[in-house]
Amino acid sequence: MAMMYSFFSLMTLLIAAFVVPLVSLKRERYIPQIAIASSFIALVFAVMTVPFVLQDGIIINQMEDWSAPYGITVAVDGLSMLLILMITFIGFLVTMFSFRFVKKRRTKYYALLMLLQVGLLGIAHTGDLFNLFVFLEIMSIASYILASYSRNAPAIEGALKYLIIGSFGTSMMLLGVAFLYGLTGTLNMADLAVKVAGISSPILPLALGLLITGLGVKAAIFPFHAWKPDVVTVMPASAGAMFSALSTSIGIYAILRIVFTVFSGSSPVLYYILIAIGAVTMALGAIMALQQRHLLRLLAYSAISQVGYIMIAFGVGGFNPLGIQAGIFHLFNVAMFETLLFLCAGIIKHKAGTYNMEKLGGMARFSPVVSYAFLIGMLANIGIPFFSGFSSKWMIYIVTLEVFPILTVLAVVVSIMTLLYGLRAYALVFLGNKNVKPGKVKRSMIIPVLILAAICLLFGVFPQLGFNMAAFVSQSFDNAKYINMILMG
Amino acid sequence: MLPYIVAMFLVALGSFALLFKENMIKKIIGLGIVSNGIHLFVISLGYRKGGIAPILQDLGLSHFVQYAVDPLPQALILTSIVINLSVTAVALSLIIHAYRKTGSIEARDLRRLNG
Repeated sequence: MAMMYSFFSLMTLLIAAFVVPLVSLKRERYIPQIAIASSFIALVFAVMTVPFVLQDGIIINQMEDWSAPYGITVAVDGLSMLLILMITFIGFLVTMFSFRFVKKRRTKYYALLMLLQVGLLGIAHTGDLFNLFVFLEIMSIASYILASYSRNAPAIEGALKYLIIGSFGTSMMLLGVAFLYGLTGTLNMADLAVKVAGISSPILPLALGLLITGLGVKAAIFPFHAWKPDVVTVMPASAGAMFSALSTSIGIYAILRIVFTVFSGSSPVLYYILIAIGAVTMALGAIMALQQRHLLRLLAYSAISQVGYIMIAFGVGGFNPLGIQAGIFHLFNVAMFETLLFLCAGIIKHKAGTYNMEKLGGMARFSPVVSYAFLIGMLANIGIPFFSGFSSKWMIYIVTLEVFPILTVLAVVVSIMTLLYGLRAYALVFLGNKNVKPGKVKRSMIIPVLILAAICLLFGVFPQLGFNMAAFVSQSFDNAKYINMILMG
Repeated sequence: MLPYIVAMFLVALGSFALLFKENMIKKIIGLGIVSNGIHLFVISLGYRKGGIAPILQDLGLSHFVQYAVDPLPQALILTSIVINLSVTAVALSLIIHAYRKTGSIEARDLRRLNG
């Protein structure tokens, strides 16, 4: 019997999120230890699930033994497993990084950080559309409050802006779910896929559009990207790292579930839309990143630009299955180097007290290790050979060349823009003659950075690892198997 | 048909307030109207004229299938109302903070402060 241990990681974090405020009434200084321990346990549970997924391809759990279309289904296939591993792994590293990084209002910070992970994990687990909406709201509410964490005017502005755009998005998603329920009478994604294929109604594209709007706001794809730089910059850099890397990944994951599972086999227009949105997002993010002076804003726009690459890869995946593999690999790489860059920026801010790149300089003398780690992350972001971003971007170039050569040209041009703003950011922050004394970075802050940098190098030097992973995960796009396993038991 | 039209009208009205009003309290009221419109829509999806409460009684399954209203939308909306309540609470507390910082609840004053 395949056990779904990864669901326990969700439970662990949910319980810990409520234990932390209780403990803080008596013993506030133990809060970070509790958070680190519970996120480590969550990571262990997630890793324990991997062999079962490798063996069976998909594990299914029907809540309270209500059979498939009636109860709530929890299904972990290759794609969900990858997301769960990414969430728990980055969650653990970020919690560890926060140990010395976050000093004020720790109770609130750690409880919300864990609730954010609960929401993300829930979305990755669920096989039910309304349940997805509920977890999306858990994630959103946690991130609204985290955005207002520092309580100054920009933080309040960012949080309110995100709250208004975000809750409008989730309302639209709920409306889309309502339309689908009205048309088909079911909310289970596998059952929906069967029923949607059987009906043709003008309301279906409307429901799909509403769902993609709602999820697109969370994934920060064009034209719903405007909130992201404002929100990410006001969060503590550690929470910003997790939020930036994972909320986009999970938004893309949910869009993939809707497009490739529920609406699979509908018209290819859908894939063209994904490609068009991706191309605009990619170019716009890079153009905006070129103009930034604020380090975190630059990284946020760079993240938006990378999401464009992923969308293009999955859109092309509708025509050429290799595109899906390229998208999966790039999704993984982006989450890793994005977190790495944000954490490095956090260390810089911790030392120098500012994110303004024109006031920074010479930070390589403060800590050479951090400067190398940042450089590794940035080179992976640009897509230089032997760094992780290269192999996945190379796959995207090859796949688009076969289907739409013009996209390849655009992708290469955007990569060159990435090179420009990436190296400019590195030079402004780390080089220069500014008189900075060498210092020591706390061990709990440097270890997560080193681990992430090692991963960026590992997947760059041995891209075969990533190709194998992507090939396995892309099997979960085999829709017939997913539907059969869930509905037949 | 009428409940659907009213629901869509509420969604449109609320979206207008949410996106175009400058006063942030009015934006949040708009958000409430949007969600209530959606709730009304979902509830009327499961409505049945002269239906009975969806509780399985002695009358048997066929009677239940014939007359009971759909219980699922009600359960969904109950969840959604609770979520909406907490979003509104967070929003209002943020507006209170914004008012303390700027002395105003207009969205544009907050933006000006940030530069």
